Amino acid sequence: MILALENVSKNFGGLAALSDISFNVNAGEIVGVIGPNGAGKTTLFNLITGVFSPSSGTIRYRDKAVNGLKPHKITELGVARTFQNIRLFGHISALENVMAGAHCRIKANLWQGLWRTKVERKEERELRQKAKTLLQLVGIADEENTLAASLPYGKQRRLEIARALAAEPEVVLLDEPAAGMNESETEDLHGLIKEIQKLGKAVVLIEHDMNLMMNLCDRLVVLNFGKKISEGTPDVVRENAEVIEAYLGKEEE
Amino acid sequence: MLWQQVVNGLTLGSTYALIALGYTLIFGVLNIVNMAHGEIFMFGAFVALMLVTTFKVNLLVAMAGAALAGAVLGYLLEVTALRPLRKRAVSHMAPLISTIGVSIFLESLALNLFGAQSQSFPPMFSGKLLDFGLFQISVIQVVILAISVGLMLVLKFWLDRTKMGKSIRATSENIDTAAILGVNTQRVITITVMLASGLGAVAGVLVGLAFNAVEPTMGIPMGFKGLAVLILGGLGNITGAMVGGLLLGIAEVFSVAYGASSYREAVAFGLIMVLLFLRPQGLFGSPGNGGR
Amino acid sequence: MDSLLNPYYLQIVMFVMINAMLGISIYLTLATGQLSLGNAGFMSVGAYTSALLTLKVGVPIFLAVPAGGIAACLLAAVIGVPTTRMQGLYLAIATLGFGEVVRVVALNLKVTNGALGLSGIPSMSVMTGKGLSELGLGSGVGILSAQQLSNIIVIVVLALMLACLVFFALRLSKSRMGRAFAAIKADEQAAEVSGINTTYYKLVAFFMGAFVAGLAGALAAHITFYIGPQDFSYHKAVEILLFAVLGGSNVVWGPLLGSFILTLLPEVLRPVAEFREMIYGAILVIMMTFRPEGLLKEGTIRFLWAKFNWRAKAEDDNSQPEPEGGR
Ligand SMILES: Nc1ncnc2c1ncn2[C@@H]1O[C@H](COP(=O)(O)OP(=O)(O)OP(=O)(O)O)[C@@H](O)[C@H]1O
Ligand SMILES: [Mg+2]
Repeated sequence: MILALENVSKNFGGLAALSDISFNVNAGEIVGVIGPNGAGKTTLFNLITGVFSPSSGTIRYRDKAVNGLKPHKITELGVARTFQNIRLFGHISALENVMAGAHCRIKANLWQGLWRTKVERKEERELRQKAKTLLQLVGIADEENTLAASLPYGKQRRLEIARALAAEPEVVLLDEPAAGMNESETEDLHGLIKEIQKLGKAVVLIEHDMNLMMNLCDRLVVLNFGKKISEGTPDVVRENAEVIEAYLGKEEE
Repeated sequence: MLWQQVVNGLTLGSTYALIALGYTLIFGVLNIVNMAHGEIFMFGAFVALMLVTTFKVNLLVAMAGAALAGAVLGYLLEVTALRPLRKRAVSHMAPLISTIGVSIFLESLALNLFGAQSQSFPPMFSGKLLDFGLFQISVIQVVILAISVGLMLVLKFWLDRTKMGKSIRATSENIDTAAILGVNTQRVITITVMLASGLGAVAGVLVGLAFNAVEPTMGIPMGFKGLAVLILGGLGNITGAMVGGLLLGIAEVFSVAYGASSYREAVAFGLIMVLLFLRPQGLFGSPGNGGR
Repeated sequence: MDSLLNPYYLQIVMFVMINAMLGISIYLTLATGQLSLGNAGFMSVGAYTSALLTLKVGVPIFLAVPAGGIAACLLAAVIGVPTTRMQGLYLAIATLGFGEVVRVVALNLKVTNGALGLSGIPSMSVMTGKGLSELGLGSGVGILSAQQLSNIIVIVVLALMLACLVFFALRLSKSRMGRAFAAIKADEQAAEVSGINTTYYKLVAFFMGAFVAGLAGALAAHITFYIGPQDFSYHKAVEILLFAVLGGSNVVWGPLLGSFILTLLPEVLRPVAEFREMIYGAILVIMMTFRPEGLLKEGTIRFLWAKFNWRAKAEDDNSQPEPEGGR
C-alpha cells in the first residue's frame, strides 16, 4: 500500500464536496475513479496533491501523513498529477516543460548554474536525455522544441503526462487524460497508461469513458455527490445496483 | 477638539469615499484597477475652476460641467485604453499598465495646458464658520459633505432601483451570466466607466475646494488614496468603499492632529500595507480556486 | 572627437547603463510573473544609503555602492515575505504603495535632508580624477583631458558591472532556477504541483530585483552629485515599468532594449521635451494594445539567433546539443 485515504472530507463553505472517503492504492496498481460531473473527483486529486488540505481525515503516503504539506513537498515525496484543464508552461518548449517537471529531482544551485560547473553540466545533460526519453515514451519526441502552447490538443495532454513522470513519482494522478481525444488517440493513451504501469508506478485515473476504465483499471472507486458508493474490481462495480442507478444506468441507455 | 477632528475627518473622508467609489464601480464590472482615475479627478477640478473663474458660473453648474467632462474623459479612456484590450484576451496586468499610461499622459497634458503652479477657487463663502458648540464647520465643508453624501445616496438608490443600475450590479456579479440574461454588457461597461469618471471629476472639485488648491500633480496622491480605500473596503464593494473612505479621512485627520502631520501622505498606504500583510488576498478576496 | 566626448554625452552614456541595470531589475522579478512597482523605492533606498555612507561616514564609494544594494535587499526581506504571497493586482498596488511610503519617509527624515535632498555626493568621476592626478596623469593622456579620461574610466566600470548583470541574468534564465522562474510565470499552481517551491523562488526573484535596483540607485547617486525624494517618485516607477513593457519582459534583452531606447529618446525629443511624459503614456497604451509582449520576445530572439548564428545552424543540422538561443 503506497497511498491511503482515511475518512477524508472536504467542505467548501456549506458544500460537502467530499465526505468520509477511504481507499488505498497499492504499488503498481491502476485505480480508476469514476462518478458523474461534480462528484468530487478533481477535488480528491487536489487534496492528495496538497492544493487543498482536507477538512478532516488523513492522507498517507508510504505511512507518512501528508496532509498540510505544501504541494511541491508532496510531489517530491512521489506523487505527481496532470490537470483536467491542461496547464502547461505555454511559453517554453516541450522539452523544457519536462525538464521543469524534474525540478525536484536535480540539485544544481544558482551558483553552479552561473558558472556551469562540471557537475551542473553533467546533470543538465542527463536531465535533457531523460526528458527526451520521456517525450519518446509519450510519443511526441519530434516536438521537443515546439512551444508547449502551440502543440495540438492531444499532444499537450501527452506532454502533461511526460511532465508529471519527470518528477519520478511512485503514484501518478491523471485527471481525464482522454478528454477531447478521438477513438484512436484514446486507444494510444490506453497503451501509454499500461506502459506507465510497467515502469512500476501506481496510476490513479479519472475518466468518463467507461469502456476504457473497465478494460484498464485493476480497481474502481465510484463517487457520487462526494460519497464513495462502491469500490472493487470492474466486474464487481459493474454489478453494483447503486452504481448502475447513479451512473452507469444513465450511460448505457 | 475631538468632535472637531471627527467632523474634519468625515468631510475629508467623504471626498475620498467618492474617489474610491469610482475605482470600485469599474473594478466591479471590469475586474481592473483604473490607474487613470486620479487624473480624471484632477481634470474635473480644473474644468470646474475654469468654469468658475472664466465663465463666472455658479459652483453647482461648474460641478455639473466637471462631471460631464469627466464622463467624456471616461468614454475616451474606455475606447482607447480598455476596449481594445478586452478584444484580445491579454494578461490581466495589461489594463493596469495601459491605464498607467493614460494617467501619465493626462497629468502631462494638464501640466502643458494649465501650468505647474497651484491655482485656487475664488473665495466663495467668505470662510464663514457655523458654530455648533461641540464643533465648528465652515460653509465649504457643509457643501462638500452635502454633495458627496448626496451623490452617494443617489448612486446607491440608482444602483438598487433602476434598470441600468441593476444591469450594472448583475454585470459585477458575473459578466457572462449577465450577457446570457440579455444585458448589453458592452453598454453597461461604457456607462459604468463614464459614471465612475464623472463621480471622480466631482470629487476633484470637492477636494480642490477642501484644500483650496488645484494642480496637475494632485491626481497621483489622491489616486493613491482612492486605491488604498479600494483595498481597505474590498475590491468591488460599494459600501466598503464608502466606509473605507470615511475611515481613511478620519485616520488622516487624527494623524495630523496628533503629531505625524508630515507623514499624512503615507497613512493611506501604511494602512493598506498592514492590511495586505494580514490578508494577502485583500479583505474580502477568496484564497484562490484550486487546481483543475 | 572632443565634441563626442563632452561631459554631457558621457553622462548620457552613464545613464543608459544605470537604466539598463534597472531594466534587469524589473526583468528579474517579472521573470516569475510578479509585477512589482517597488523598484523606484528600492532604488531610492540604495541611493540614499550609499550617499549617506560616503557623505556622513566617509566610506569609500566602491564599498558604499554594494552596501546600497544590500540595504535595498534587507528592506525587501522585510516586506517581501508578506508581499510575495499576494496575487498579481495586490502585489502591484502594495509595491507601488511601498515606493510611496519610502518617498514620504525620505521627504521627512532629517538625515535625508527632506525635500531638499542630498547634494555634494562624492562623484565617481571626480574620485577617479583625483586618483589619476595622484598617478601623475593630472593633465590627461594624449588627446584626452583628465576629465574625459576619468569619465571614460567610470563608463568602463559601469559597462563591466552591466555586463556582469547581463551575464548573470542570461545564465540564470537557462539554469535550473531559470526554468523554475519560467514555470512559475506561466502557471504558478501548476509549477508548485510539479515540485517547484514557488514561494521560495518568488522571494528570491524579489530579492534579486531589489538588490539590482538598489545597486543602480547607489550608482546613480554617485554620478549626479545630487539626489532628492522626487527622483524616485511614481514617475520613476512608471519609467522602469516602461523599459519592460516596451522592450518586452520575456527575454533579458527586452528590458535592456527598452531602457536603451527610453534613455536616448528624450535626447532625440529635446525640442518637444514638455511632451515627453505624454509620449511615454501613449507608448504604454499602444504597446498594450498592439504588442503586449513587448518588442522582443522568445520568437524574435530565436529567429534572429537562427539567422545570424552559424553555430546554432550547424548544430541544428546534425542535431547535436540544442542551440543556446533560447530564452
Ligand atoms: N475551489 C472550490 N471552491 C468551491 N467549490 C468547489 C471548488 N472546487 C470544487 N468545488 C465544488 O465541489 C464539487 C466537486 O467538484 P469537482 O471538480 O471535484 O468535481 P468532478 O467530479 O471533478 O467533476 P467533473 O467530472 O465535472 O470534472 C462541485 O460541486 C464543485 O462546484
Ligand atoms: Mg474534475
